Amino acid sequence: MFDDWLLHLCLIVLAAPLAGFCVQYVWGRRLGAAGAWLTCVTMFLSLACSVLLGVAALSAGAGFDVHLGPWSWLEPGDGAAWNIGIRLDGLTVVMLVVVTLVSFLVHVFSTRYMEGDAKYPLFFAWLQMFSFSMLVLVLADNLLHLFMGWELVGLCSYKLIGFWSEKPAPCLAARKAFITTRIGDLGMMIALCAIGTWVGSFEFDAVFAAAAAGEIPDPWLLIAGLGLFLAAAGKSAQLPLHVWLPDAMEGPTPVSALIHAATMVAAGVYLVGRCAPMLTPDVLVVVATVGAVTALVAGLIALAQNDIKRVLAYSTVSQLGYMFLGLGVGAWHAGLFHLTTHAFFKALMFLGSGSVIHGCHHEQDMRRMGGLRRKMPITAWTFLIGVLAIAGVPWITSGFFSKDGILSGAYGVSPVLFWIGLGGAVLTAFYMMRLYVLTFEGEPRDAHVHDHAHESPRAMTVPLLILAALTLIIGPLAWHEILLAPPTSVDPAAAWGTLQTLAQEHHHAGVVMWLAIAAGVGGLALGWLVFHIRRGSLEALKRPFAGLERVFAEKFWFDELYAAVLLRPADALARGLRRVDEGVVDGLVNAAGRSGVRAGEASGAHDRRVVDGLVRLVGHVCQGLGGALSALQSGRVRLYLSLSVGLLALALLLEHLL
Amino acid sequence: MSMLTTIVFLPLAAMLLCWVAPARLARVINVVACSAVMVLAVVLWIQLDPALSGYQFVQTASWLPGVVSEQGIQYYVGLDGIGLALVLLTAFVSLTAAIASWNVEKQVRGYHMMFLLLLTGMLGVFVALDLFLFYVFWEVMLLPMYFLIGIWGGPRRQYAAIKFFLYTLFGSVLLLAGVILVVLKTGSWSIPEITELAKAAVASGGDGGILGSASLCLAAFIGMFIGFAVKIPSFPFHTWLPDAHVEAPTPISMILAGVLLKMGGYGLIRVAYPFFPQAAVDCGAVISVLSAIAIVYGAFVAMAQTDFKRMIAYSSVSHMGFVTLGLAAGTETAINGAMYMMLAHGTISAMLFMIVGVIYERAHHREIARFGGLAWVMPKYFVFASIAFFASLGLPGGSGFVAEITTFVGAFDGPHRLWAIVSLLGVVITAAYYLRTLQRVYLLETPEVYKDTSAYPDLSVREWVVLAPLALVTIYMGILPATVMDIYKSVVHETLVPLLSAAGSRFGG
Repeated sequence: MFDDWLLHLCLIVLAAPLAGFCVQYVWGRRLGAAGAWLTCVTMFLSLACSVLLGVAALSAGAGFDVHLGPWSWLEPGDGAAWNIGIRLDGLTVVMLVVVTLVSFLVHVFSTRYMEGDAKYPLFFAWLQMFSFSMLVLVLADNLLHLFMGWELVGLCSYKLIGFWSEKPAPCLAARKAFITTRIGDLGMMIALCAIGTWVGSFEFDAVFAAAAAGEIPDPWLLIAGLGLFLAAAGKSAQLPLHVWLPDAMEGPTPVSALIHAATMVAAGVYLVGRCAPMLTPDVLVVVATVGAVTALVAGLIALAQNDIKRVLAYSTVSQLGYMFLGLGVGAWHAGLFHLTTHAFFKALMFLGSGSVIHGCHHEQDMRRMGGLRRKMPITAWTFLIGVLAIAGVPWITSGFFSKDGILSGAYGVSPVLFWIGLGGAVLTAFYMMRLYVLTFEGEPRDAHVHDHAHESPRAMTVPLLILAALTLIIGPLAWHEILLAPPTSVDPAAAWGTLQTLAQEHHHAGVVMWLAIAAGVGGLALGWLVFHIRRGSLEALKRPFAGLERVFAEKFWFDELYAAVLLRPADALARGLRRVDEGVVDGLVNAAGRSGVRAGEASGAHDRRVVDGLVRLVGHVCQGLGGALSALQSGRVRLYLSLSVGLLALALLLEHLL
Repeated sequence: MSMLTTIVFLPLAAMLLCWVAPARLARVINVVACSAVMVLAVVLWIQLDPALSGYQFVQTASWLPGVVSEQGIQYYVGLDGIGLALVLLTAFVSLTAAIASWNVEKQVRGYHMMFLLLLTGMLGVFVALDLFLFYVFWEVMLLPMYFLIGIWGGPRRQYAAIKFFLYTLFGSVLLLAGVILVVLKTGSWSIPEITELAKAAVASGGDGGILGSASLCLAAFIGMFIGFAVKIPSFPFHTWLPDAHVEAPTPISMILAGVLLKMGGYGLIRVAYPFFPQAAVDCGAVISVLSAIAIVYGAFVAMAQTDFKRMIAYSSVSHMGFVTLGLAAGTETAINGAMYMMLAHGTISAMLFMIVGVIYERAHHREIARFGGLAWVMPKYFVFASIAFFASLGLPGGSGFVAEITTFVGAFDGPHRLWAIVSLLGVVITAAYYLRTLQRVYLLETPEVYKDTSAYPDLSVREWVVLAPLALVTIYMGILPATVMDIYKSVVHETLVPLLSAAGSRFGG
């Protein structure tokens, strides 16, 4: 009975945005603004049901883990059963609420932000499709089902990054995003192959049990784990597959907030969190190291960016790195809690930047902003809350709780990772303060932009206020274990081994907390000092670091490197193979044909037309072959071979007749 | 008269009707006949019991008694799940292609007569159970195809038609040699009987197979494999395909890619593999390598194409590589995946060729680089193009995904794991060339020439009626694959898999 209720709620959660997509896709143009509000309603419905599911989870208490289904999808043979099914546990419920809530607010925000766009209805259609796909992903109780949602969010991401695809930049960015994540998906496919081969079912619990029982032989468990992480790194823009996310900022800003900050890019983190019990310690080391290095490198690049959205994009890459660091070092709870808090404060800042861009008539360069706080106070103050949260200002912001958890987890496992993470934290606070100061404080640097700037309408500021409030209040939920219940009923300790115990011992170590606070507050103070108070001497301060700044501004030349070692060689290879195909493979065929013509002519036929010549060649070949074969057994071969030659003759006759 | 005989010869009757009826009625007769075939195919689907792996609706009649054996050559037809799945595909693709042929203007009567004759040939291949009959239908297909390309094709139609004809005839000769060898050695023309003999041969533990000699079996298998590989077409026998496609008129390209290429895969599944399971297993590694090459190499060559239709043709080479990859792996999942790929590719490629045809009809060229921004001029057309592109690159929700993931998982489970992993690369390259083409043809700024809405109208009713069912079936097969796989699953499970696994376990465990 209870399960029936849960199932119905889940179905509404899924069906509402899907229905919204269909209606909006087909009748969107006729519905106009009403259609946009309709999608807000479907999203609210989805949100309401998600909240109800959350309430159900809370009231059920610890150990809430409901499986609905499975329903048979395909039985491909060898006794395997590929199902679809829904799994509701703490992790799912948190993700559901995060996705539907941010999505709902972004829908509302977009009703005004996208106003006047020629493809206004289509934008909401794809937002709906994205929400549906993301919810499919989150609700999945098995890896194949998850993979379907995973690929569909990729499609929606492609469509929405390239929303203005009459221009070249969004087109290229969309393609880059799709292809880069698809490279990561190869890892997922290898994992699926390995699981399909040795487990036969993709259901998480079955896979974890098989992994724990050693049913997946060496080295395939390791390879599957690395494959999953490769997929996660593609989706969540980790080194070395991070290059697509900054470019994805070519999409409309609400899309950046929803897909490329709060939800889809966190799917990789969710995947690793969900599959944690099957990851071997080696994989966890890779996860933690890649996460930490990404956090640092992306932070360095963010220092030297001037486009407001690009800074936020690199900060997203960096924060996702933190989440992986958390998962890798065994601070599972903190890593996923950071996913949650980050979703709110990063959506807040992205929508804030959208409000700025909207208010400044599509100006995105921070060097032309400044002093906007007086013009758009709500945007400025809510943005500041986001900055404080991402810096991890203690006790009042949610970012503090999650980041502290990750750093203390890292401290327990590896001092190197801890210091890298801490360095990243200083950077984060520093460049976010730079972003805030350049945009909202100081004197306006471009009179034109400043004069025309205005606060955004209520449909845009209210979502900002709601997200700001959430950013401030959800921190203490960090201690509510039910919300992020263990990922599986299988004992995680078995898979986590020593890492887990180490992390637990050092949790809430006082010194780590104070170091984290010092890093965040220190970074903020330094940023305020350098970019606001001592702005005049900024150039002098930067001079010794000019070389480094160039490296950061050029993003460590990742794009250039990939173009040189991957893209151009692939293109050259394609062209080369085309020449081989036309010259050699087909050349041989044509050469055979030509020699056939000559043989036909030489045989003394009077009709020298190519067709006839070739026909004769075939005849000769057939007869030769027929002779050879008939030597084997009997003379009948000739009968059938002559039959095919006869058919040919008939063909030619018909050709003449027609 | 049995259902099967009716469905096979109904198009032939319609062809004769075309001959006597006024030329303007030809297209009506064609569409009506194809609709009737479609209805009959659905009736067969409803009536065929999927739980039985044997042949149903069997009809036999004496034809040429005393040839080789006492029974001799028979008219022998029957249908099992594999045949049914392909009959359904044939009926469906032919119906859409017949509708797509509505605006053919050149020698209308001849065109529709050839079209109907082709349909009889194709359906005949899928129901024939006598090797002679099988071969006759096989050759019957060749003839109308030759004319359809050679007369109604593009500028280089003669070259393409002759190349197609001779190349496939070369394959046919090898096939025929194999058939003759089998018939003479076993003394039977019946495909089910010879399959039983092969089963017994494997079970007996000897390695002589049905021909009494392992090396003879290997030679016969290789010959037949090449014969069918030309049709699939497998690397390196694929170069007739781009030429044939580029020159063929749109509906014929749809049939060529949608059905004719499946003949090769069907021949492997129905004849080559069951007759010579041992040789098939022994050749598994080579076939896997060739398949991986076809998938990756085909995708790369597709990427370098400048002609829209040639690109789609090479994507066919790449995708049909999955069929041989799955068969070579020999696991149940892989074979089911290979079979699913045939069905998925059948509908998706028909759709892709229609999409090329739509724009070729308006622009009279197919240069990818000269297009641009068509999405803004023809939004409905763009929706279908997107569906076809994304389904073809294996996005979940489309049938291509089911086929690819099933084949991958199954092939990974098989003895040639490395080549399954190499083939995965094709997935990325495929995405790269499809997205690039999507961008160059449909996105970015629209060049002035294409802004003229009278020269570039959105989809006509005819085009709608062709594309919409293809898109629906593609999506249906992506969302509810079990309903389609159930058609043929039991046959694979009970016929092909036991043979191959018995041969495989004898080979090396």
